[in-house]
Amino acid sequence: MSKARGIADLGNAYSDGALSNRNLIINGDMKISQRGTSFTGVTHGTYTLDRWELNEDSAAEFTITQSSETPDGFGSSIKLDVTTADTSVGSADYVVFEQRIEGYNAQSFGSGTSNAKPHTVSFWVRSNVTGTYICELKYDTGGYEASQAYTIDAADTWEYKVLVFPPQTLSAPANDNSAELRVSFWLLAGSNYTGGGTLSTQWTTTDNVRAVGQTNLVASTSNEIYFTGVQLEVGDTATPFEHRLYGNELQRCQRYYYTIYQTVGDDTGLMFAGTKTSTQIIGVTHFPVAMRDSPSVVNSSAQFRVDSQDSLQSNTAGSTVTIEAGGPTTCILKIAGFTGLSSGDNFPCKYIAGTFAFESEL
Amino acid sequence: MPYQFYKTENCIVLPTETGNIAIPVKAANSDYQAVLDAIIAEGADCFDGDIPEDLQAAADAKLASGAYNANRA
Repeated sequence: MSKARGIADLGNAYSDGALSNRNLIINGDMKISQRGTSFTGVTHGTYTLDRWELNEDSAAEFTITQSSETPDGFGSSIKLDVTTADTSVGSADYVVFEQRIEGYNAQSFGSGTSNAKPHTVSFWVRSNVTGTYICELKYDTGGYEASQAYTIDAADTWEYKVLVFPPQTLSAPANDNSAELRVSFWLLAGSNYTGGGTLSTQWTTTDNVRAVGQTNLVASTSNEIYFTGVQLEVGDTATPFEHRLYGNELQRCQRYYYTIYQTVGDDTGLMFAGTKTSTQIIGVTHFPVAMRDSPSVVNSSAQFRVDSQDSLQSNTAGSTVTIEAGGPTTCILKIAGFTGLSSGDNFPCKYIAGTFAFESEL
Repeated sequence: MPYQFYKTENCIVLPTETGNIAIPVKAANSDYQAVLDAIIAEGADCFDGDIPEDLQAAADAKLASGAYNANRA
C-alpha cells in the first residue's frame, strides 16, 4: 500500500468514527488460546482459540490448532484440518467458523437507522482447496443476514481479502451484553443455504440465498484452511490490521473466558476460603476483568489445596465445584472432595492441577 | 440425550467424566440457555430426576417466545 493510500484510508476510518479500537473482532490474529493450542475431534458448538467457535450440522470433524504458519507480520493463525469428511451433503448440512459480537460492541454501525454505515471485513486466508467461499454477517435481532463471496485463487498460498457489506437499516441490535452480530466463514453449505439461485449480498432473512456457490471444504480429509488477521470495522474501507498488545488482547478475551494460568508443579492462589463442612470449603474469587455476565465454572480434573495450621491437604481431583453466588466480577465457590476439615478454619486455597476456568461466552 | 444434570439451590451442575460444569441460573449465560434448549428438545430424559418447576417454566417461556432455535446456522 502506498503512503498516500494509507493516509487516505486512515482518513476514511476517522470519518467513520474510529482511529483506535477499529477492529470489533477479538483475537483476530489468533494469538490468544487459553483453552489450549490443539483440539481434536472438533464438532458443533466448540470454542477453540479464544472467541472463535465452530458450528455445524454435518458429519465433519476437525483438528483445530494454533499455527505458526502465517503471512508476514503475524505470529499466529488458526488451522482447521478436516479429519472426518462429509461427502454425502444433506440439504440442511452446514459448517461455519465464526465469532459472535456483543450488542454493546455492535452499536457503531448505526444499524437499524437511516444513517447506518457499511461493514468491512478483511482477513488473510490460505487453503489447499481453491474456489468460491462465503463470508456472512448476521444480526441476531431481526435475523438479518448478508453474504459476500471471495475466491481462494491459489492453493497453499496466503491471500488477503476485503469484503464490504452494505448498511443494515432494517433492525437495530440490542444495546446490551447479548449476542447481536456474528461474522461467519462458511466451509460447507447444503441446499437449504444454496438453493435460492443468487447469493444475497443485501440484508435478508431468506436462508437459501445465504451461501450460494460455497465450496465444500470438508469433502476430503486432505483438506485444510487457515485464517488470521480477521478485522471487522465500520465503513467501506479496510484499514491495516489493528495489532493490539498481547496483554490487551488477553483482557478482551477474559471477558468471555478466563482460566488461571498454571505451570505444572506451581501452586496458584485461587481465593481465601473457609470451612463449609468437614468435606467442603467456600470462598470468593475475583476475575481480572468484568466478565460478560455471571460465568459458568468449568472443572476438569481440577485439584485444590488448602493450607493452614489445622488443614494442609489436597482434595480429590475432579471433585464437584458449585456456585454459591456470583456475578460478572466475583464468584462465591464451594469446593468438595476434602476430608476432616475443622469447623471455623480459614485458609488460602490454591489451584494446583487440572483445568479450572470461568466461561461467559455468547 | 445431550445432558444429565441436576440443580442445587444456586446453580445447575453438569457432571462430566473428569469433573463438572457449574452453570449459574442467569438468563444471559449461554450454558444456561443450552440447558433450557435440552429441556425443550429432550424433556424429562435430560434431567436426573424431576425437572425443577423454575427450569421447566423458563424452558416453556423460551419456547413460547420463539427464542428456541434448534441447531440453526
